[in-house]
Amino acid sequence: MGKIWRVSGPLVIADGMKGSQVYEIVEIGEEGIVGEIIGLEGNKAVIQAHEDTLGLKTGERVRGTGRILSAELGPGLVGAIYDGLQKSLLTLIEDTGSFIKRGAKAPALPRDKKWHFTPKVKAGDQVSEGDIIGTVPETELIEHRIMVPMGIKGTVKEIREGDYTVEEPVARVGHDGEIKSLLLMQEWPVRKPRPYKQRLDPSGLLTTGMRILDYMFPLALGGKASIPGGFGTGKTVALQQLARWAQTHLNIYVGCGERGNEMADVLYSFRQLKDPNTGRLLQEKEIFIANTSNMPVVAREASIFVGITMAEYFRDMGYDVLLVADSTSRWAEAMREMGGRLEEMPGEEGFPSYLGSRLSSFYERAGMVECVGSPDRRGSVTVAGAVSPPGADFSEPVTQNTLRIVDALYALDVSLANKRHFPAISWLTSYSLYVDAVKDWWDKVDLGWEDTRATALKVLQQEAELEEIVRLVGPEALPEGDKLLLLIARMIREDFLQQSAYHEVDTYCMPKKAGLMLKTIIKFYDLAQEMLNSGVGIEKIRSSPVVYRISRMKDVPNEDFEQRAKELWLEMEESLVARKRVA
Amino acid sequence: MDFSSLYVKEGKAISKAKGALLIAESIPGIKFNEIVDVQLSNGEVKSGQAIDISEEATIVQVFGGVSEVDLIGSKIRCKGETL
Repeated sequence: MGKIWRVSGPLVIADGMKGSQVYEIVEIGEEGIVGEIIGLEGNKAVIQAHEDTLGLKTGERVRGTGRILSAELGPGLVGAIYDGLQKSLLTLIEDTGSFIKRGAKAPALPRDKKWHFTPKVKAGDQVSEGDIIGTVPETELIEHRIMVPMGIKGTVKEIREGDYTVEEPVARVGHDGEIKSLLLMQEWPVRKPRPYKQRLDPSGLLTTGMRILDYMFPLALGGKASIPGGFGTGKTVALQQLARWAQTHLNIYVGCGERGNEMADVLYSFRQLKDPNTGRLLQEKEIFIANTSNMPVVAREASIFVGITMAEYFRDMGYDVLLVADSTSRWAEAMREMGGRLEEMPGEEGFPSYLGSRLSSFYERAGMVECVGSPDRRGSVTVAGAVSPPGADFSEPVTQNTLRIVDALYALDVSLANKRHFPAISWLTSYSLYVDAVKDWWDKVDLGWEDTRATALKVLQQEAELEEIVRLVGPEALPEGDKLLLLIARMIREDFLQQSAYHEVDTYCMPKKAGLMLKTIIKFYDLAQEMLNSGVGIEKIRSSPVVYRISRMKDVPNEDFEQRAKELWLEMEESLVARKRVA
Repeated sequence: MDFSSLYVKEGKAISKAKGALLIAESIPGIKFNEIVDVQLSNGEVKSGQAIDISEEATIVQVFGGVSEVDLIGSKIRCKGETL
């Protein structure tokens, strides 16, 4: 048992801590405030407190627990709301009220709830780590697969179907004369990546329902993306859309140091909205970690790592998981604060010199893998991290370090937001290195996707190049061909890229509809080109009723769109006719 | 809960001062972020907060700042309460 030697904000130095481990969890003071040892020096331990240190005195006791920061994994995770230390907030509200009391304990998994366990192996079978021994129907959308914990193998001595709590043994496995009990729950240290058999390349589209993402800058399953944006660019709405509609099996939303009322909004919507594909409430496939800006700063790092550990756990079951972190900048600021207290040499902008390596230790845990154990299965974790660069200046350290790690960038642009173009993702600055990874997927849904996409991007690029001239001489001074280009670019921007998160229908756009929408615009472009070439004026093209109908494509429900597109194409072919040349 | 209004620790000497920060000897029993009274040499009493406590020293942030602290004549008194 050690005692407090010094307290300075979240930094606590304890004496008499010989024999402790780095990253060991300690309980500080009489209230047992949770802290993590981050350094050892002789008899002294340098501790970062995950809870508020107000009122601690020198000489108060510090108790090592012998455990490192670990996440509880098992049935009860899905639909739960946790704080950064995986304390169940719903339980805490019942026990202690709306403000979290320091030192309060609320286990992550409910201990008294019974779950129905159905074995998938029988007595006499050989099992080893990662094998699925049975299932629990956690929600209608998630079948919780119980796996043999890492490091355990042997012959199944006993396994029985029934109703169990997470602490009651469901099976016994024998090896070398030793018998181990297997429970529904497991633990895993959050800073350690969970193992996998083999890493695979990210492949297949992570469908988000946002056209600018799915069609133009696709995110592949197992990929890593960064979403930098200044204030007022609609970053939170974009992330909430991702967390709500992403067609992965499970979504984990980590609110890291951001506004409490925004997190409340997201939570509220999870409990009301339904998944478009299954019609079930979203909370049946979501886990929520809330570490608001007023909660202890050091817990921000814990929230990130608890989130990714839970994601890896479900990945190991063979699921595709999306983790959204809003915002990684707050985590970096927490590192900066601790670094200052520790009197570390500051790096750029005051951030610690290990900012880059700490960020990558998080992002690199994303990926598509072959899972350990049998049956053979694949799972993936896709990570989307928001970044909040001060003054929307992307040259700051957190953005720059993140860009080195991720393969997709969705740059939110202030000028687009000012023009009320939402999502304010800039098509000139954003990029995705997953175009090849999703090509096969897209070709099945929309043949020729790559070419259509390239055409659209080219039009937008040319519009950007013309913009300066337009500012000088005005659009009417341009040649007809350029005028048409500007018209098409405007249609691509307003009728395809712009998408309202608040519109009943357009909040989620199926990839098939997106493909048809853009093909419609490109077809219009081709037909209009022919008309221009044959001498028809641009005014006639602009005033065609088809232009209006194209702008209303967004309002057509997903299921009805194929039919609508056919009608539109017919109308275009009939009305947009090139003038017959007189011989 | 501490019944600290009845308990007062008197007269710890201040060893260093810089801007609004005063560094005093270690005050056993002082709590982190505790509110203290700083009695300046001219008799004026200002409020401060213990922002760094250890067995080596106590650092107090004086509310409203200090312009001149006569190190020899000033004292820090703990009230046993936090904000």
